[in-house]
Amino acid sequence: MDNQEKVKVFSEKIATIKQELHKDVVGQEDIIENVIIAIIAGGNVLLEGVPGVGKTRLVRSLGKTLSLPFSRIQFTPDLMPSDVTGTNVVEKDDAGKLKTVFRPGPIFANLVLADEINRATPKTQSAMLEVMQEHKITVTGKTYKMQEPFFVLATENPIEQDGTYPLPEAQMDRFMFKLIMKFPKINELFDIVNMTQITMDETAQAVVDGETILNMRALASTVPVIDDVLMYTMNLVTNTHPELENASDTAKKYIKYGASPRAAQALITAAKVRALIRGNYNVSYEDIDALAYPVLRHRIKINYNAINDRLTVDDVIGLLIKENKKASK
Amino acid sequence: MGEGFLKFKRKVYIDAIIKSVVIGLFVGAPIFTALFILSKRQIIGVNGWLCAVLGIVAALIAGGLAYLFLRPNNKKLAKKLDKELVLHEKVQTMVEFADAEDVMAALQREDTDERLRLQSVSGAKFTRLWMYITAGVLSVAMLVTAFAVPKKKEPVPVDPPFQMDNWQQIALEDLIEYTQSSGMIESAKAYTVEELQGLLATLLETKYTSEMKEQVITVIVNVDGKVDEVNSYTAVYGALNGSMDNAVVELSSAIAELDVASTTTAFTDLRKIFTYAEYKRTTEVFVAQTRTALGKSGYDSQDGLYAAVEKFLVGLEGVASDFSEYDETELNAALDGAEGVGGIFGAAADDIHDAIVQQKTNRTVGKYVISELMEIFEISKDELPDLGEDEVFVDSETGGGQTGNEDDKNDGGYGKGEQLFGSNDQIYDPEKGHVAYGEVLNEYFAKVSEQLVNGTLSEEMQEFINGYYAQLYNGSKDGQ
Repeated sequence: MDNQEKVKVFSEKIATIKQELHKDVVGQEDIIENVIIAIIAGGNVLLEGVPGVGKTRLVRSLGKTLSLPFSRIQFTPDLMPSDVTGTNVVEKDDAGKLKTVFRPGPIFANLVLADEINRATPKTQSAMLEVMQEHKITVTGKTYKMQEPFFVLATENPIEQDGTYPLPEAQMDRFMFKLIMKFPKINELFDIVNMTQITMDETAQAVVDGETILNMRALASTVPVIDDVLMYTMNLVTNTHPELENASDTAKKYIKYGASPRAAQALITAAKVRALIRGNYNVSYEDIDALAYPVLRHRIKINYNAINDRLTVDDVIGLLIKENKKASK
Repeated sequence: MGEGFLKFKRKVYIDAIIKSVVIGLFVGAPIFTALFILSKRQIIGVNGWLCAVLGIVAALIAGGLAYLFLRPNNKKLAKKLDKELVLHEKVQTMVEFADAEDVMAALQREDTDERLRLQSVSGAKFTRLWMYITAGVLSVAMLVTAFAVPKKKEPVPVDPPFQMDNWQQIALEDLIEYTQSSGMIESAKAYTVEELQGLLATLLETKYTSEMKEQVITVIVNVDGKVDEVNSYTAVYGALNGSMDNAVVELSSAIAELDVASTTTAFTDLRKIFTYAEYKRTTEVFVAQTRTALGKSGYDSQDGLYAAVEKFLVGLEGVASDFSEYDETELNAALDGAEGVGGIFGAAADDIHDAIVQQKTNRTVGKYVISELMEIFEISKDELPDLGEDEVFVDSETGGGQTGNEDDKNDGGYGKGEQLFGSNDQIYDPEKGHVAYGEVLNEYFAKVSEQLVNGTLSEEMQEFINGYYAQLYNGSKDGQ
């Protein structure tokens, strides 16, 4: 199949995936699209939302649509790292000899739902670090590679923060996106109720497989990005750092810590996928601006000035985008 | 680049050219306008063509620089198209990855070019159109103004009307009378009187000052020309003085004397050249050379001076033939006496002196007429054409001379060397015309004396006046 065909297939597949997902998830178009972008781009997603908005359902439905093995890890304070990664157990073989056998943990799947990840202890959370970044895990000195495509979708409950362990910066940085799943609109709630009266099970069918995802990922990586857009992206990320000499006014005023270089990488990688999803063969400023929110909101820390001015992190990101646009003209 | 992009590129190139032309015009027009108007108003001395050249050069430089700045390069054009056609960096990507060989880049180029092909070129807007239209209109307005501003005209002098005053008429009539009674040669006198009478008649009808001046100046030129015509002195003297023959040059010196005594002395010296033994031959050569020189003077036998010299030559020829080649002293002495050669030389001196004096009188009267006309009708020297040089009346001792120009100082009379005698100055006597002062000295002193006796002058003044006349009687200007 030549690349033109591949692009055509890409667009069709995306449309199909969205269509299937919408069978189980009402509304949340942005969330669905960004999750798809993250999967194709090879990134992980942190999903924040109140209980019952469909976070788990989305991931389960996604697993079915992508016909990828799916596992769910419910993080609790007593969850141990080995509960996530798996452990060696001693077993008797057929001959009756004792041997150690590795029993893989729930992390060994293509799609992993790390539910309420902020409830687990930092020790357990750190078990996710290596696998999220490098797609491999080391247990008792032995390294096990995850099967590609590997995708972690972690969830956070913004309400019950007592007794939780906020994710460390290092781990936050491993998530390509942080998406906020909002409470559905009334008409969406209407559809949800109607739909779930029929069945609570996910009805999405498999439409792509892992290999297709990998092919789509390879295709997306070839989308060209002009230097001006690259520079625009770099400026956007560096402008989040108040300590830099050329820091933007917004950063100086409202930001305590800025985004890491992974933010720039995530922006470009995801922008390529987004461009292709929308039928474009190049990355535009619009792609960068649209993805700035999910990429930066968990990577920058706003200060008390922003809180005093009643600005959310998304508001600050909006100001950064505005300043960056002005500077680039 | 694909056809879609190229069509926009062509359009933007044309836009850049138009803008450059307008900018050039906007720079060149005010420069040309300013210079041209200043030139027209004669504030600066710059030719109209030079103003145009400077304006064009400025326009070309400005337009050229503008074009270099405005002409599109692919990157700038791509940016402009992405912005105006809302193509989200497609064109910029196409341009930046124009040479990329990977398939996605090729797809991207193809897709973008297709989109551009479907767009109309009007999508690429001519930026700041109003500004360029305004600049163009202003430039044209400036150029129109440059040509519309009228040239500075020299104020047309108002020609005042003229009506001859009574006193002018009387003065002119007096001038005619003076001329008629003057010692001017008859031909010149009659001509001058006729000119003045004609002028009088004409001026009575003349209505404008410019016409009056033209008529008066014409008379002045004519009178001056007539005097030049009748005065042969300069030409004859010059012709004789320029001869290679010493005797002829001596003759010119004799002509140079302005009083009879001096002229006679000069001819006496000339006689010494003519020795008895060589008389015939000397005469032959002398006469031939003199006639040759006279021929060069351009004057004919009717001229008084010419006639006097010719008479002298004829006389010499007549006597020369009688001279013996042999040394017959008694015969030659008789021929050399007062009845012979002596008489001829003496007569020549008188004839030539009279001729010169006549010519001087002609010049003096002519000058007087001219100066009076200028005074009566208020004509300045600048208004007159060049009347040429006057005759040089030679002083035989110094070789220099007095001219007939009224501007030259009259040191009083004529004479030899440094000592000048005032009593022979020519003066104008209302009854006698121009006469030597010495001739009327007694009469004037008598009249003055009568006034000194009966008048009320102070003793000091009386003493001064007596002393003046004493000097005149003594014949020395400085009283020596």
